[in-house]
Amino acid sequence: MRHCYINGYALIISVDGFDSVDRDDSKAFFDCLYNGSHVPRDSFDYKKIISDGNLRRRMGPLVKSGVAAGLLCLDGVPSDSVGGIVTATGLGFLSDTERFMNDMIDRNESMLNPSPFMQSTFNTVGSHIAMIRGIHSYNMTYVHRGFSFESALSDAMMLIDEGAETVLAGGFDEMTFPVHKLLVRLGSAPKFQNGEISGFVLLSSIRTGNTFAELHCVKTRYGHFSEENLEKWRSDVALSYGTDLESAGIFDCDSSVSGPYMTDSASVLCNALEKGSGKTFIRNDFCGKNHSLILLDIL
Amino acid sequence: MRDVYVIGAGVVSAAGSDLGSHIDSFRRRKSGLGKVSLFRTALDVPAGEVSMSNSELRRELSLPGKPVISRTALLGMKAASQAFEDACSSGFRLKGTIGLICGTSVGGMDISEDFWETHRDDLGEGDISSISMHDCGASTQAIASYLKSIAGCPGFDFITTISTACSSAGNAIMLGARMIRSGQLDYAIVGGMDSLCRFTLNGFNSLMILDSKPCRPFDATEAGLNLGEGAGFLILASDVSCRQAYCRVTGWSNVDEAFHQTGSSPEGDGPYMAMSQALAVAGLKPSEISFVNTHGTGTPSNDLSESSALIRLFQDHVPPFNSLKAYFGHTLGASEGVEAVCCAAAVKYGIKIGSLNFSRPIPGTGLVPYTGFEEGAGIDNIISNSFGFGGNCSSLVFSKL
Amino acid sequence: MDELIEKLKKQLIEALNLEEMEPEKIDPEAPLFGEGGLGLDSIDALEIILLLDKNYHIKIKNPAEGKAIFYSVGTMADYIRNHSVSDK
Repeated sequence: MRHCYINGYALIISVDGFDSVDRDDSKAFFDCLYNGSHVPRDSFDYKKIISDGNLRRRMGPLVKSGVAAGLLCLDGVPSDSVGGIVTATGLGFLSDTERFMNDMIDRNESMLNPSPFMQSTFNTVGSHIAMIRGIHSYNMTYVHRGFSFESALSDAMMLIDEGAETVLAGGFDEMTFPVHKLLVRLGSAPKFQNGEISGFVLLSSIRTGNTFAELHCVKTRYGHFSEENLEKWRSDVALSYGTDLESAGIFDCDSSVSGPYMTDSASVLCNALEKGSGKTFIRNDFCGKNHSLILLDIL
Repeated sequence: MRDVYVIGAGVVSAAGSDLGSHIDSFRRRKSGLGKVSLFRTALDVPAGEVSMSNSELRRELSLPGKPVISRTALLGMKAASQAFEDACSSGFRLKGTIGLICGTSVGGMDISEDFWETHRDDLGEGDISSISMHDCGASTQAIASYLKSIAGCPGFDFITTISTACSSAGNAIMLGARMIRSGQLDYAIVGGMDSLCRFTLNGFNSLMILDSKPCRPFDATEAGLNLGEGAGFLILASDVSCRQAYCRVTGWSNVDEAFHQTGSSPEGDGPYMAMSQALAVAGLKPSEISFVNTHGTGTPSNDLSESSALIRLFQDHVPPFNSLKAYFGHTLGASEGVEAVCCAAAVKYGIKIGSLNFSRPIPGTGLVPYTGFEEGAGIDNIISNSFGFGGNCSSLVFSKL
Repeated sequence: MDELIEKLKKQLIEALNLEEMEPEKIDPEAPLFGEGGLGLDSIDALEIILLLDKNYHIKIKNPAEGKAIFYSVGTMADYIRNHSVSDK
């Protein structure tokens, strides 16, 4: 494998409706973590990041958030050096999906606005980033529960190995109050009931002065296993990269402020890049069936 | 770098419940398009429905009455298990690392839209287990469980789902091929599945691209597409003893046209780039292509774009080409799964499959699709295209052994 | 002041979510589509077809017909005056 570096990252969180005790329910939470610094809410402006008003005006909340996080990572990167845009989402663009579904029922399948349908397509963020930046290379979207972002990241690494210079990879999901209610009934709901989270990383085959980390591997394992069995699997992965779980830093999904949601590993990775150092694992065990490990060396 | 072989294939669509019945439909030039009968809708447009109801599918798949399984997953189980059994009956045993990569555009939307309509005013009501099949990954996992527990597949070292609208299955096949070539997988079960539902029918209707008559790809009177449903899966392998294989997957490419969210460029930039790059991966010259299975949806925007690209790539020597959409409709995320199976069979048996509903060419392109049917034609290399919203363009190359 | 034109401007801003556009800034004679105008595209054309159907009961079956009708706010107003069954 060629070496694969993380040369940029952006995480945009805009959520509200927390029901946990340690947060004020009425307070919305916003954070934009961009290459190691936090952009204050007052100076964060979607209009500045997505300058094409004609594209922006049709974007739903998650499309806007995902496109903005992706564009932040690509800032200053020549379009023709980008060998791929690989995105991930578990549930996609819920606001647009709900809007189209409600209109369809309310208007008895007639006189429906096409925009929410179009925006509900899972690859909308990746294709908008391509359109805004004129990037014609590989464009892919993964939609597999707790493996969504892991699949995107491992595909992005494969593209670097196949010769790409830079590849953008990201994961994003949104929550709406109605869907949150359903997820609570299903037993796996995030801590926020409304809002969206998008996390992107810029991978590169070239190490520069601005490199944040080297990405070693993304491993996934599917199925129900005993905790012992999983622990052995994780140790074996660590061992094959010359480290062990005890001496490496571990960032767990689901333990972050947001609680379990399908592309949590994208934001956990961004948080690890800010707070972690040295050999670091991102550990994810989504719904007891989607197990993954991301191993990186934070510089 | 390892070669990639196709060693098994399975398909279900409005044109038939397996590969043999598809070839028979092509031979008889029989379209499977008709009225929507399996669910209620206010729209009166032709569609390509798989003739079996959910309970008939469950019975055939030996599945008990519960739990709820999305139609998308049921169609996928049928095609994927056919492909698995096909490989087994040709003497292949899947051992080593195995992947399952599915493409879909709607996932379990068929269940969700009914649930939402009934319970949106009180989401505390209703059978919540049914909504757990909403997301796309749930359908893939249901197929994985089925292949393992009932069809006898040993299990999966890698599993994922791709959704890039109408090119989803093409991209799933491409990922499987790349992972086999690089040695990450020994076998990959790849393809796509999608069921018809009101959400997508109304979505395409809101874009005003549904034809109220059967679609007429590449015809001067073409006025839109018809939606369909189905699933198509291939078993890819790196096995060196692949004498019984259908063909090899030699080329692939995915590019983004970056032109418009739903429209295609009249110059065919995206399709041209995708086909040229797939040829480059295969190490083939345009003159070595025997046949092109186009995306050919029947919308003036797609067909003009794809025609321009064919002329740019092949110039005065555009090879025979077809569109299969009038047989089973545009099966969205499943489309390249269904059509890749047809292409694999076309290479293996030397079949040329003809387009339907063509009478005169689009003014300006003059391109005439192949409209006959021929067996034993000798096909060396087929390009198969699938294009999705967001300018997502994929091309695959299937080559004779 | 042409009431229909002013009403149309507001309806367009709402239907197309032209958040930064004020009605006064839309020149009734300026092209709505492509560069040099408001930069609307084929999806906006579909939204306008819907707007005309909902508010003026005007049905346009083929989006290609819309090109000349939607050239500008002025041409739209003319078309509505000539075709509307109820423009209240």
